[in-house]
Amino acid sequence: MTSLHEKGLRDAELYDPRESSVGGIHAMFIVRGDPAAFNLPEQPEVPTVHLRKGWTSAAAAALMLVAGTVLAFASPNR
Amino acid sequence: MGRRRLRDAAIGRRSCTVKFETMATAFLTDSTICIGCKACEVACKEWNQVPADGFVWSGLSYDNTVALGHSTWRHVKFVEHAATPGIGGNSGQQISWQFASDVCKHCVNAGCLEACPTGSIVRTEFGSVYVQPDVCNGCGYCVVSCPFGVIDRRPDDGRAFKCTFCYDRQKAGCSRRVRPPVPRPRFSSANWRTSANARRIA
Repeated sequence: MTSLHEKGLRDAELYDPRESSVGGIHAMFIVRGDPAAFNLPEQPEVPTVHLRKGWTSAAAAALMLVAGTVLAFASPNR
Repeated sequence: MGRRRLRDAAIGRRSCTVKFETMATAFLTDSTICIGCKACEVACKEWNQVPADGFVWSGLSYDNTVALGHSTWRHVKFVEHAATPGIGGNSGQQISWQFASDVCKHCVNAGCLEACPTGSIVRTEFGSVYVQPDVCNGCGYCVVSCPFGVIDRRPDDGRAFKCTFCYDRQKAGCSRRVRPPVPRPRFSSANWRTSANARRIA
């Protein structure tokens, strides 16, 4: 990269998204300019990072539904 | 190594320590010297016997392959920025035409691998992500889970296909097929992370 920059390709950069949830890739690219123009997203995201949040909210919703049902049948003036 | 850890390693679970670092290889594509000849695309198709992906004019660009897909495992993307009318005409500053040979990224935390319910998608000893066609049942979960939109289902077949990282060639000790026909040196097949090459590009 240093030699490329010395040759005047100052906008050349290495695309290697180690900081994202993808955690690194085995096909790296040296591109000039914005990597997004090459269909290389800034922050690629593995969908499984949403698993915990998704299951937590599903469990919360289920709990609330069960609680509501129980409350409805447990009301004293039926 | 216990049986459970072996199994975890075979399916590439994140929880276990996969000791494949020394064997891991990587593509390094230098698009600053790519001339867009598409020889790598042709070589990939020839070696892997990937079927035709249509013989169509995109109408948008000279790049008629358009995108990576079930039958396009390597794609030389043409990144075109047209000149703004009235400013500078057809000067070099206005028009830019760049090429980038795109391919499956073989992610360290692969969305497709984590989504696959059949265990068809595995992590190989080269660090790549490999779809076993004989196990794949074509559910398509991997297609929506890929962060880069690489893997795709073949409509007439139903199963998902993508770049194999030339697993067969690497297993036999050859380089990736895309390397030989390129007219200028562009692809590095050096061992990733461990080599001097990894330090040079950093």
